[in-house]
Amino acid sequence: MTTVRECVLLAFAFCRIGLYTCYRRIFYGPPPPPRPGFSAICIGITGAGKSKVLAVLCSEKDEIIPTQGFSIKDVPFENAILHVKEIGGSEMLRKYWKKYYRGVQGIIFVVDSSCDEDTLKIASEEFCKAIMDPDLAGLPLLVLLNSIDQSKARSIEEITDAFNINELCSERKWSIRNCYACDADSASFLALILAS
Amino acid sequence: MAFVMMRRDKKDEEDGGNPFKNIEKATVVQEARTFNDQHINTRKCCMILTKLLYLINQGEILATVEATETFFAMTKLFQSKDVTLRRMVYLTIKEMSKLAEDVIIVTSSLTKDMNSKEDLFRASAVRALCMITDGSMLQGIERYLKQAIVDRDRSVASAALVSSLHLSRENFEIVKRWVNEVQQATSSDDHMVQYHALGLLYQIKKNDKLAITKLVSKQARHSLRSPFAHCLMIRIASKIIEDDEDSKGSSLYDYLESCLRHKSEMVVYEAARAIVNLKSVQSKDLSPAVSGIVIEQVAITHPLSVTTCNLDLENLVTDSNRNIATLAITTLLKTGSEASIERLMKQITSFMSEISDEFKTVVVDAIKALCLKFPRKHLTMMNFLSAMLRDEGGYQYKKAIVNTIISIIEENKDAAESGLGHLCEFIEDCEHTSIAVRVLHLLGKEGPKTLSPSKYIRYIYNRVILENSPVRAASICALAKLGAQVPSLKESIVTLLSRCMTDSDDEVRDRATFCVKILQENSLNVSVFGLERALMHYVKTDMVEPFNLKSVPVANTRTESKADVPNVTTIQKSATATASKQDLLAEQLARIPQFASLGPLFKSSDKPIEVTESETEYVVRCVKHIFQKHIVFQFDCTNTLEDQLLENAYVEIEPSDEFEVESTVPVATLAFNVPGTTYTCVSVPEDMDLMTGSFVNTLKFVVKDCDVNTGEADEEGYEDEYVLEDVEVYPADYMQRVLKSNFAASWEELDSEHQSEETYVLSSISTIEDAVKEVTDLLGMQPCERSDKVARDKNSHTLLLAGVYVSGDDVLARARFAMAQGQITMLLTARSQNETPLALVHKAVG
Repeated sequence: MTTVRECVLLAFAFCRIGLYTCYRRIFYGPPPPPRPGFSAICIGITGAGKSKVLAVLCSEKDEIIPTQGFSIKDVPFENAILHVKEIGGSEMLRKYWKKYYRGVQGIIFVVDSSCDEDTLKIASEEFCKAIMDPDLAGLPLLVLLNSIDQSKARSIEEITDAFNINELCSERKWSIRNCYACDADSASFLALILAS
Repeated sequence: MAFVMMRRDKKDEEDGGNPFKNIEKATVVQEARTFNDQHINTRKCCMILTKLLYLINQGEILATVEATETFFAMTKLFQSKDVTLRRMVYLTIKEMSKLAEDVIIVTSSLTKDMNSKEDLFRASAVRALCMITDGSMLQGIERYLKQAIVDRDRSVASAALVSSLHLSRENFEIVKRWVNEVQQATSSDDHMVQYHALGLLYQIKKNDKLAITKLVSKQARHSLRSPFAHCLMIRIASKIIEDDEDSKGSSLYDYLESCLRHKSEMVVYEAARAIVNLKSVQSKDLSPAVSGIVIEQVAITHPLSVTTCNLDLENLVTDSNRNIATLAITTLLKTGSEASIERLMKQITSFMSEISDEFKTVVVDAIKALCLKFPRKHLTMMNFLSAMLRDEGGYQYKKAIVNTIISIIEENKDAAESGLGHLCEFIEDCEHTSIAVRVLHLLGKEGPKTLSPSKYIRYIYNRVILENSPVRAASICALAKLGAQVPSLKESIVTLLSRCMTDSDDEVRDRATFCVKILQENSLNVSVFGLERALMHYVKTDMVEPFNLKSVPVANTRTESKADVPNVTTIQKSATATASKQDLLAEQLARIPQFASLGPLFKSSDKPIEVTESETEYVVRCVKHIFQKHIVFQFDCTNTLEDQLLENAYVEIEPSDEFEVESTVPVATLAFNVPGTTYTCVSVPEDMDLMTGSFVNTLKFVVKDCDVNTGEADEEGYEDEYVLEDVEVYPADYMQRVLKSNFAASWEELDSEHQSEETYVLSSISTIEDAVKEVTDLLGMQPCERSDKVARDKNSHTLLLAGVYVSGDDVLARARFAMAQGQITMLLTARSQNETPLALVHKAVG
């Protein structure tokens, strides 16, 4: 007796699932295709604002403290999801950057455009070292300029020259953008390139 | 996750045993590289981490480089959000925090997890974070830890508290600052948190006596909820009372007493234990604590004061709680007098059937102690024990009884006969193999000493017929022992044993055959060391001929008597001898007149070769000195027997083939622990083919017993000898390493001279690196132009070697290795001014 009852109940359940699926198809169209995921590495020396940029992109509101080590974040864009490995930029941690190069598909380099000359020099050296790494050869690059609302901020051209990007990156797709630390547009370059 | 793994490994488990038994470190480290993959296979990664943890916990040592590499690969798993995998990662971080370098790289990730919403992550993250943190980093995360301590989630709070406790060992000053949070945690509702908080609080304040006293009295008033915390408090309180002799402890004592009425049994035990352990305890204080529970322990410490309670105890025996009754009985057994034993035994018998095996075991132990105390009562005990043996009972219980009977038999010869009788009956129907084996061994040992050993044969042989193979094997040995020690029975035992020679089990058959053989030949009195050495030697040979037992030295019963006091000057000499270098050796050799005519020393072997085991009577090391046409073997001997003085010791060498012993230089005396050196010189044959081989050595000497105290030796001595291990002379011994800075030029220079070339397949070697090392060692030549460094992942390599042959001819060799289909082939080209060295080179490799 009970088995018959169970069978009927089960049949009902299947019918309901089927009906719901049909209803969704009719009114909302086919389900959106899953967005492709790409892995990227986010580097830059301490204080450049890597964690800040990523937090904003992920719409998180946690307070920012200097990254002691690395953190892994998924940044959603309209056409793709970036799995970003962000590694702290303090002097102690820079030597570990290399360990995370393998397997990434894109590079994000964050610079504080209002920093002093010495810091800029270090940033440029580190940039050069990273870009030349064989593991990162040919990968698309996005340079983000942070703190551009400061009075001392340098322009895009100045940074491009200081980093010598034109020459260093002739064999890869690259872009340099101002970053207002709040709009996703400037950061979506990498997602666009990778998804295309 | 364990479930997943269980399913995966079910097949392995069905095969029996540990699924991880066969994993290797190298494979796991290799597998760990999959962590770097773009897409993480959660299940696979979990499995690899499990293997890794297994290896680490099995004591496998990961080199720092390996560990760091693996650790960094693992950090990439933070990408995955899988809960199981993440928790495995935490575990691995904890385990690897001491192995790998730069573990602080995960600080940020852990800090993030620790503050995440996922409760499952937080506690483990806290623990892992504290493992990787050091003093300088601690300040950075201090704030989070403080928050975690007062966290609402009990597991997080507990984890933070326990981790802080660990941290306080190294960073006491920092942890001390968290006292307010810890204080707050002590009033937590959760038992575990409260307990851990109290523990940490005590740790923080333990150096401040006043604060501790205050802490205890405060916490004692507030009712602690956790019984664990209560136990801790009791321990702290009793410690304070112990330390302070003043009356200040009275309030604490009240606390302890109040704990006796606590509703948790654990607290009551702890309190009672604390009270009876107090040194200054008064007998009136004791009475409330004597609840029958802890009294057993009291019996040990205060036997007299408990004796007075014996009457009460006897009432307790009839207590409805059987546990208490058992303890009361055992206490009585411990304190009882000889007269009361029989009465007690009766009482025990009445309730033995009602108590659990564990308590039965306790009773048996008590009886054992009693038997040793009152040997005259053994008959009563033995009857009682055998009755117990016949009862139902688990393995532990039976084992305890058998142990007791055995120890009684060993202690008390009168009891042996009846004890063995009981045991024989017992093994007639014994389901536990190990106990049966033990009893059979005992029968073999004790049986021959009894009045009529023949009666045991029936019992033992029944086992051979009826039991499983381990028991049968043990029976065989027992029978053989009876046969060996009781001549009258030998004949019939041999008959019985020969029947067993057709047994279905290998071990049983082997033992039977061996025993029959030994019994028929009547003796096997060889020295065990000698036998071992002879067998080891035999295993190294081709084993074509059967092993000859006659080659083993007969056991000699050494006369134990005296020793020698080492004198100071010779010790100093030995110190310099150990510091010896090549030239020091050469100098020593040059001083010996016999060797002056041998010409200059060509080469001495680098390290002394041990030709004895390190723990034997005499320790001998051998150094080979190669001369133009001779080899001098230097034997550094040390006598490790205190009671012997060796005189005129020398090593007799039996050379192979064409070598001839030219002379020996014996050492006059070898006193205890004073090293001495003897030399033997042999001439090297001209024929190159015969220049290598092994030498059989025997140390010969005259032994004189000497007085241990005075060091005076007896007048009379006797000749003796001692077999040493063989010494090999390799082709490499005739070669001296020479570094050629410009190998190519030297190679061209020898162009017109002799050259030989040959190809070899190195089947036993799997990598080029190993091949390079092997060939270098075999030839005894110097790698030039850093050609001994092999580049990774290359399939071919060229090794350049240079050396000087004993005749003074230069020898150059070029070895080209190629790796194909997992096999290494070597093209070896050698050049020299002469033919002989070339042949030697090929002989060395071939």
